[in-house]
Amino acid sequence: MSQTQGGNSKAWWLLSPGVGLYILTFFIPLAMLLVLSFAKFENSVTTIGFFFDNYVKIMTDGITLTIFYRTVQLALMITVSCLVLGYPVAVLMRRSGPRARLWLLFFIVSPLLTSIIVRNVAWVLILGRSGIINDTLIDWGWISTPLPLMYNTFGVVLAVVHVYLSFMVLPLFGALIAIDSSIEEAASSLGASPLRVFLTVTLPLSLPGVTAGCTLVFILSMGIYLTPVIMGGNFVLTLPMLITDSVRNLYNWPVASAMALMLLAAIGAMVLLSARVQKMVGG
Amino acid sequence: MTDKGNFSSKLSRRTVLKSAAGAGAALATPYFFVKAHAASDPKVVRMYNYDGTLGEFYDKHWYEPFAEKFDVKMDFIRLKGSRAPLEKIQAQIANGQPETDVFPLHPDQLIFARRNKIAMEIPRSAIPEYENIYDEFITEFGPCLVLWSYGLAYNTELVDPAPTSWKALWDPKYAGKVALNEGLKDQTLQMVNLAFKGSPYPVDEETFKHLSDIRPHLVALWSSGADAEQLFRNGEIVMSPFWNGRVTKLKSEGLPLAFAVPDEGFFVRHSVYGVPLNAANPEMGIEWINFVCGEERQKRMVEFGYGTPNKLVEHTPEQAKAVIVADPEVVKKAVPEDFTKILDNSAAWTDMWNKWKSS
Amino acid sequence: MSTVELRKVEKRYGSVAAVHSLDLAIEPGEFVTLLGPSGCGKSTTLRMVAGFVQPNAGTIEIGGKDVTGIPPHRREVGLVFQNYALFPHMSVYKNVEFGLKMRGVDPSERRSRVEEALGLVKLGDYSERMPAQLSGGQQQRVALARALVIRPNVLLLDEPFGALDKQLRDHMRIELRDLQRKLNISTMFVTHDQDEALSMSDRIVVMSEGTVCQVGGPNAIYEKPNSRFVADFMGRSNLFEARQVDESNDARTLDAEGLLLNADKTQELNGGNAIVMVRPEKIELLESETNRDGSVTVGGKIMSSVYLGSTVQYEVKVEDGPTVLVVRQNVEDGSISAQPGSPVFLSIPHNAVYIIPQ
Repeated sequence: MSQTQGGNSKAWWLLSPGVGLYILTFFIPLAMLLVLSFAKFENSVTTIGFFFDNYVKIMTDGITLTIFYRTVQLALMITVSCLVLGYPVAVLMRRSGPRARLWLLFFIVSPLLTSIIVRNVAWVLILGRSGIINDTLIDWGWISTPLPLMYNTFGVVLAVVHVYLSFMVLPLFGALIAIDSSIEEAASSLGASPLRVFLTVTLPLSLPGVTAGCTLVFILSMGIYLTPVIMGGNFVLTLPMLITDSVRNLYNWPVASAMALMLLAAIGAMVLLSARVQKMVGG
Repeated sequence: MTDKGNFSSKLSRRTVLKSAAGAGAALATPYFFVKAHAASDPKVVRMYNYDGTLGEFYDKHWYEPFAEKFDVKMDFIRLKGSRAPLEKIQAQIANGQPETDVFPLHPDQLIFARRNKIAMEIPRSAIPEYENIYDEFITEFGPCLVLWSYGLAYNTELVDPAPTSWKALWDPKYAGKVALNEGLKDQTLQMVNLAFKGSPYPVDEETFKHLSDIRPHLVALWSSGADAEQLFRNGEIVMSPFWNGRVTKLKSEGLPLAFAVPDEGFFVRHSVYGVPLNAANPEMGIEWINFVCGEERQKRMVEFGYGTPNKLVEHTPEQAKAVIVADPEVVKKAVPEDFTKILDNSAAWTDMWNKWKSS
Repeated sequence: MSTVELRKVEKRYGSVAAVHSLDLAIEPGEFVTLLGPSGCGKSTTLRMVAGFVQPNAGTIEIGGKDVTGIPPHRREVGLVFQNYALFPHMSVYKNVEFGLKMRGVDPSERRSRVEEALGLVKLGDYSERMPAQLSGGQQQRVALARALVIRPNVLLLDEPFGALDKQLRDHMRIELRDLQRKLNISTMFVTHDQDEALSMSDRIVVMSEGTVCQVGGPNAIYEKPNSRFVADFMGRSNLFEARQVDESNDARTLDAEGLLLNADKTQELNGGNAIVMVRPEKIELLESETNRDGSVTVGGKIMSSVYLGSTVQYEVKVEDGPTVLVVRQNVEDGSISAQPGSPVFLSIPHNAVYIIPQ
């Protein structure tokens, strides 16, 4: 027994590089972010101190909070879209043979392997005014003027879903593959139609995967910044865009820090919520 | 050391400021650690460079000949967009060493640099080539180079008649085929004022009312020259405020594009080339600035399509047309901009701008 | 009318036939076991009856109705899996209620039927537990209740005791068989364990490589296997190549690889050669040569002995003959000083010698 304990205490040392890395790259910068968020930025000059100016500005400028809500809204839209589109893919992957499964996985993950610039060019070719979709619909006489398929929220959601779908599909697939197929067969033999098997057995048993996937996609979506710029034609504003703008164009680290902490708090709340839901559906 | 408490509080404040700014920069750019702490080598000069054809121009005409002449190695950091990352450079200076020996400053950045003391003052005597530079293009931090014009770019086949006013953007004929510049929103706001009020200031409710009018016509708000090029190439837009260099480039690719100087006036901007404080190799940085101020280097810049402050450079008629600012009649239309006002109001204008976008 | 009837049922995966032209009927109230090694097609057959596998040819009837092509949820079958397959997110009560809900049975009837079913498997007090809170045996009883509550035409059991430990398995056998008799429900039971098959079945269907080898009662299958495969699969046996060397009024004398055996003449011998089977528990082990009526006695030497608790298993090398497996009840400790190397005599009754029909 004592030997086991000795082994454990030694094993703790193995964690130290990881913990050290976390302290260095996460906790220290986080503390600095906190300090900076109480600094003052006036006449292009930053003064460290204990000022509430940045938080007051965020709460009262009439725009930051709006954009924050829109960011949450956008993240929710992306999350729901990923879930609705990703679930059938995960189901298909589960039912496929190993080869087909590998191909599906490759298709789902492939957007992660291409740069945002390449993807954007591709989207313009598909969604643009004279892109494939608009050209085809006009040729068929279904529409007379091109549909606005990009440079709006639709375009942003589509482009982000394209990339983040894999973050939904993989946890879903993991949850689905863990379901013993004989449980579904049991339901079926007890008189449940395929739809009812799905609703009463498959779906409830895959909820841990749904929670994990939704949390992951939501958190990632709260941080989108480049895609709205390119695919949203800058009309779709997110909090990360505001933070970037504050730093890059206004040189205002303090207000950017306050906004970043706000974003972090929202994500933290989401993680806590997800942990609670996970506990409910898992146990 | 009579007041120990005061001393230590001063120390900790400075330490916190330095490391906080440093950590912020570190978060943004991991390679900062490596670059900022590279040992200084007198044979290496660190520079920023742009993407695209302007970057190629710098490589070929401003960097390579200098490296050859002075037997040094030029090290580059690519810029994303057209502006030097002052937020990062400031943090690097506070923490030690900036990542380059020379940096380009847009006019508003010049004022920011002045206020935050992040650029080295260069005495006139240090740059012999100043002799041939017009006085108004010399600042305490360096010369104003790369004169570019901001007017109206339009598709010559699809926009008829050729626009003579910024108001052409509001023409319902081109609804759904125009875009505005998000990256330089101060210029966009001044442009709106020029079009409807005749002067660039003040930026107020009325300015945004006109923006709201054009809002349904807009395809996108672009944030970099490359984005705007893309929009023109794909046929997504037929008209947008743009700068002359990019139009020249697209024309050379065969796109039916032209650059118009609207009657209400247009904008001429430049970059001040300076040496950041604590630069590793300031001597060679100044040497390079002097080198590019010379007639030969400035001639190349004119050939490329941007204006020069060098008195000795002569323009062919075609070059004069391309650089815009070679014609005194055209230069008269250049609108004087108040960059202090722009810098001090940028936060307020950004809020108004974002509210307009979100409405 | 049979409860389940399979006619010329065929299932192929690619060019491999998993089940080959299978005919099988289960009569009302009958307990039929499909027995065979893994890959013999027994599970595929059960899954075809349940509806999860579609046959390539042939028809399947349940309750007199052709169900070929009918999806599983519209076949009235009760299915129990080896791994129980309980719904882990539902209580015991909800698990059992599930099939009734799917059938739209009204709530008050549902309650009484669920309680009745849980009573049948003696789990009335466990209705609010979750499956994870039950032992393996309890879970399997829930699965049984869940399958029975819908009053299916046929109960299908796919290796239901495979995940239980031996003691529990023996106990569950008895319980299941009692319940099946009580409810008089037609049952198809799939297993690879011949003990299970022998102890529970009305009829056993021995399968190999997709075909039926033999169908019969446990006794017939064990005592009178119709092939070397069945003989070998149904427990330990001595199998010898033999030829007839003599013949009397009521017996044949066979030379089984050097061992002379007498067999009842009632058994047919096609041609001169045969394979004979002698179950090892039917051979008596003697310390001295004792001749008995209706038996042959031969001498040999013990090669090995394996102590198995209730039985002891010996390998005996017959002089100028084969090695013979003998199993004796462990009635008295050390009844035979059966150390390897010690000489013994084997007494083999005539009626223990079975000629496998070719």
